[in-house]
Amino acid sequence: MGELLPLEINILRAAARLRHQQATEFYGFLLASELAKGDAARQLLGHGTIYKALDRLEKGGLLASRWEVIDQSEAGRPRRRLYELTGAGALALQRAAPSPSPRPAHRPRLAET
Amino acid sequence: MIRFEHDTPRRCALLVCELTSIVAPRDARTRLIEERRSHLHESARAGAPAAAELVSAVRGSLDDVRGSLSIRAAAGLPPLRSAVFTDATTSLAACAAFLAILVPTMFMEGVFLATLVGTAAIACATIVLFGGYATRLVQWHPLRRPPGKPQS
Repeated sequence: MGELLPLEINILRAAARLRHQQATEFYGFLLASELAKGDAARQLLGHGTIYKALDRLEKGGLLASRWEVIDQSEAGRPRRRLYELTGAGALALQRAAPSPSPRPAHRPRLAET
Repeated sequence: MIRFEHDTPRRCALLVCELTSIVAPRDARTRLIEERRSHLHESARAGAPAAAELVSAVRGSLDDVRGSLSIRAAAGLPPLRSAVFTDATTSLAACAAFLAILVPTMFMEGVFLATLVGTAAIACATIVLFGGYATRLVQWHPLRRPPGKPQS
């Protein structure tokens, strides 16, 4: 699907974080709340943007989704679209934003390269 | 069940979403609207400010134009002409939606919200007009040139 945009990387990162917290599946509002906690809040211009980004990521195979199966009148809310990070998504996240490694003791300066 | 239908800003937010989804394929449109409806219910249950949702809906619809024109260009991705056109159309729809609800809002909800909505409508119109101009610019953006093609 080409190079990931910063918001898309942040969505994948939040999905990985939620999965780490045992929330294998997530929905838009939960994701928006998660993004609002971190640095991604600055890049999150509107919640409408999330859903289009989620659609792009799903089309790219980086997320999978399904409709929640509930009795809406009993639950007192509309059904949610549940998303899940795929293996390809986790890999794409690793490639796009590798986990921070310890800072090297000596960083070569431009003049030395 | 919380009924945000009685909450004007959230109702407007959904209206914007519905109008900006007009150009999407039918299945995608239905899904997008249903997801946004769910989101607005969740935000109402969580006590999130309704005005923030309204602003978010507008910014979300306009973000596509910004996204296509600047973020994708900055990332070195070629923004498709058709995508830019679609984004401009959705923004135009958002603008029309706000203009359509401006007058009723003015009478029903008071001056503050009318001012907020009016400002958003003007912002929409400005960005749509700018978007039309920027679309022409993007066609000549260096990042849009295919690899290997010399820059003149």
